[in-house]
Amino acid sequence: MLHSKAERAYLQQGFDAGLRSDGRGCHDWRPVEVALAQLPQASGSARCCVGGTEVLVSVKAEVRTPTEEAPGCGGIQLAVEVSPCAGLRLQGRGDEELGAELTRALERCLLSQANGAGGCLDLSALCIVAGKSCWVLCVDALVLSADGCVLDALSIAAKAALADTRIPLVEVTQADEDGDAELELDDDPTHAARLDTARVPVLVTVSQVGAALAVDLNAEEGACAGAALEVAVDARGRLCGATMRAHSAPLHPSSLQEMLGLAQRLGPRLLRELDRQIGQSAAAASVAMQE
Amino acid sequence: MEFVSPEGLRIDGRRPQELRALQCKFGVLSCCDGSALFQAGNTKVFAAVYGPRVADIRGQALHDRALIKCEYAHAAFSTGAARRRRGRSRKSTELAALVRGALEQTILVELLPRAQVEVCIQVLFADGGVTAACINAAMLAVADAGIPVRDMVAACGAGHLEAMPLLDLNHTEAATGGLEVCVALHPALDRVVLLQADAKASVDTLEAVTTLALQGCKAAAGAMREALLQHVRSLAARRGAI
Amino acid sequence: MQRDLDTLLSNSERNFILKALKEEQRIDGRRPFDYRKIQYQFPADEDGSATVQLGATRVMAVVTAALEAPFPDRPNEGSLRFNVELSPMASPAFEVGRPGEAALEAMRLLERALRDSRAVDLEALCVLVGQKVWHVRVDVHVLDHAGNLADAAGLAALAALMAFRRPEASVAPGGGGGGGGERGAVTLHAPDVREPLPLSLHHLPLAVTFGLFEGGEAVVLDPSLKEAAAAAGMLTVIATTHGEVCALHKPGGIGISLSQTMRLVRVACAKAAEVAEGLRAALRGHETARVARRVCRRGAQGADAGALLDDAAGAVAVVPGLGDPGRAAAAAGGAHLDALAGSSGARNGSGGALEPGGMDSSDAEEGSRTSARPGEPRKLPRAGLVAAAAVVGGARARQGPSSLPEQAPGDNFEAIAAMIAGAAQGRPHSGDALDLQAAVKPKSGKRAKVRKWQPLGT
Repeated sequence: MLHSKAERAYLQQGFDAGLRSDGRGCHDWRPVEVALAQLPQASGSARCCVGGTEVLVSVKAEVRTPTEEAPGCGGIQLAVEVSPCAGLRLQGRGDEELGAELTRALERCLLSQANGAGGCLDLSALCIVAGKSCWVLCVDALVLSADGCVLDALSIAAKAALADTRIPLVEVTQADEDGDAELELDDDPTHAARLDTARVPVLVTVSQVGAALAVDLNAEEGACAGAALEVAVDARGRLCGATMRAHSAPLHPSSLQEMLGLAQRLGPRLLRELDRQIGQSAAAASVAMQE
Repeated sequence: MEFVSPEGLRIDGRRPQELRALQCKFGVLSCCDGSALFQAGNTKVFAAVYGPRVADIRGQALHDRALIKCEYAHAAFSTGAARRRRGRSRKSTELAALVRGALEQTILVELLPRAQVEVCIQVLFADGGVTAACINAAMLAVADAGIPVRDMVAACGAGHLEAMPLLDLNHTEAATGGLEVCVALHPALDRVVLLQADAKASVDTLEAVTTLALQGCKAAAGAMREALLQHVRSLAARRGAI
Repeated sequence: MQRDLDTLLSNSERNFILKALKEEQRIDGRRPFDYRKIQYQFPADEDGSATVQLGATRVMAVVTAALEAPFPDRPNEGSLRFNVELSPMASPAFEVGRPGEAALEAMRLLERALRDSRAVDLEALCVLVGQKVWHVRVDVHVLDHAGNLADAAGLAALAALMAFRRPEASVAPGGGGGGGGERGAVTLHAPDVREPLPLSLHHLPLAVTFGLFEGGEAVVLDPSLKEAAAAAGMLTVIATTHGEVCALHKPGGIGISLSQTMRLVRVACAKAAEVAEGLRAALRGHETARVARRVCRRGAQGADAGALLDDAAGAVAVVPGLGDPGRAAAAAGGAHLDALAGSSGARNGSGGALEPGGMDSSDAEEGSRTSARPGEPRKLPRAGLVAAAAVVGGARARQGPSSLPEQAPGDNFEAIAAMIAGAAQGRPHSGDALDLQAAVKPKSGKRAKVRKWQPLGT
């Protein structure tokens, strides 16, 4: 997006005075809206809107053979796609590159390692028969509309979609010594295992605009931001990871501390709001199911 | 497999000549000049329009009319089955070209010389009739963006299963590989803008199925028109004009 | 430079085209529903390559096949892929590098015509389920673009697929049927040992393109480059020879009414049958030439005569059998010698008139009495079988022709040699041999090849 110098100066001076063009303070989010169960074909899904940013995450559980390194664990596969509708003005490969960048960032947040070991989800719970079969969660995210703060929205939607995920109960019959065990899936949606997502963090992107620190920059504000730090914070305010955004401006170590501290303070607040909305949405869904 | 039960009902409970429930929403995305969501049964397609504005690449601008660009993508989770291959396949390029072809005939391009209109289409869920849904979604988004058009373009598919023409096939019905036709129509001008037929069929069958698809187009056009009018009314009400 | 002018049409040229069209005249002198002249070329030394010339548009298609593992979701089917190259050689509008939208459109049209309509029997390409299938690839190169690429590309691809022969592959017993752990080994037979097989085509889909003018009221068939530039829209119908439609393609362009569309579809069906007739005739010519070449090659290696003649009958019977079962059955009786005769005629460049079916059953019996033609008597029932197979549409028209005569190979060798030499020298064996003699005018350079057999025969 193109901005004149005057526009940038206007925004920057606003941040210095603690004012933003839409009336928020520096540490406020735009309204965050989360809705669960958006896609009937997925095991779990969620849509998250943060202002004009809209993302959609689908989780599909598939039965596969576990890897040799971790025979007793399931797995998670992440992929982020950027829709051409998102208006990122990036044509052709641009969308793919951005998608890959977002995928890596989200992977770092949800899985500490590529296979998910040591991450925030208990992958051993996804195991069905050790060494034979396990659940693999295919997490596909789609950025429908991008107006800043895309990564934060993605992490919120991913957490909500994982919370919404129902994994069918599996009955293992005739697990012989060498013969393949037969799996029987229970397709009753009310009888399904849920994932424990209490420890799943969200990403809070803290940006430096002028001298001030701010969260949830929209596309306009993002254009005049300096350094940006992506911080993964869990519900108790513990740091789960921090990465400097690609193409970020350099950062002074002293402001690093300050940024991490801000994320640690704001993250739990965001998570409480998220949990409230997930609970509401789940309650509405269960009421609908009973009816 | 039986596609039409003895009672004359299809696998999703419709009559042979019945459309799925259509749903149109406008202004669903915030960062574009016009956007729409078109839903036919489970098939769900987003469209966003950027423009008209100065052409991105100067050399591509046309001196006597607007340049229409079209981008198509489907989400990784758009099919219920196994994960699809990413990236642009031949089919998605073809689909984008089809939508562009239909829009070039619909938008009054000669009123917007040297300009560019970009239409982006995102399929969220594909349950048959994707081409038609893409065209309809694009049309609604163009209308939402306030771009002048010659006539509304409405598309609908039809097929031929068990010696019977069926309107608006869903994925299960289309997967049999029988004849499937997709028609886009200018309802007021009564002109066929786009016609795609696949699989082998006799001319008479083709004519019967195409005629049915045309009726479907007219029904879809009616529903789209109604939704559009309602949207305009609500906009006017919000601005205090009514 | 010239081409740029072609694609960018001046207003006066456009008006001229439109005005002429109102009087049902076209700038190249055709009537609205005329095709330009269609010519086919099949290279002599290669099966599965064809060049089609449609007026000045020239398209080459090459078919190649590889024996590889099938796709996991289709374990018992081969595959068919198309690739269209629009090189700048054909038109300066084309660019080097990744296939553009025009190339992709042409590719999809070929896919829809030949693969999605199931024209090619992909299951017949399976050799060993889940292990080895034929992956067939069709490369279409546009050599010169003078309008109507869709039809020319479709025709070239179809001609190449029809001319294509794949080597016969056999599976060692014990793999498929027994169900034991041991897998059958696949052996490929060299074309010299076993006759390569044609693809089995269920129908012949042909693309017929119309240019639409004047709100769809004026229509031309096979638009040239200038007409395409002036046209307001295009409609491509992919029709079979039996009046069936495989696909319709109307990518944008002006809208037309349904009744007009259906009228054009019917015209397209009739035109497709006409074009297919020309294509079949061209292929028959190619086939006889091919058989003739093989007679020389195989004769030289001392292959048995029965197999050879069978091949001739089989190959010819399969081609007409694709579209016209009745004729296949009728032709099968006399096809074998017909083919031979035609081939030597074609080889010598005379292409003289041949009376078809020169051999009837009494001739055959007469022939069987002469020791010089040992393969002849068993040929007839075999040819009948071939015809039957062709009618059913089976891929394997011939079942293992190799195990034939009881005689020593040397005898066969002489028998063939005697026959061919007889034909060349004009020594009368029977009625059909006389026909052969009439067909052969020993004056071209290739006569040397024929002469080579003379001393052997005498």
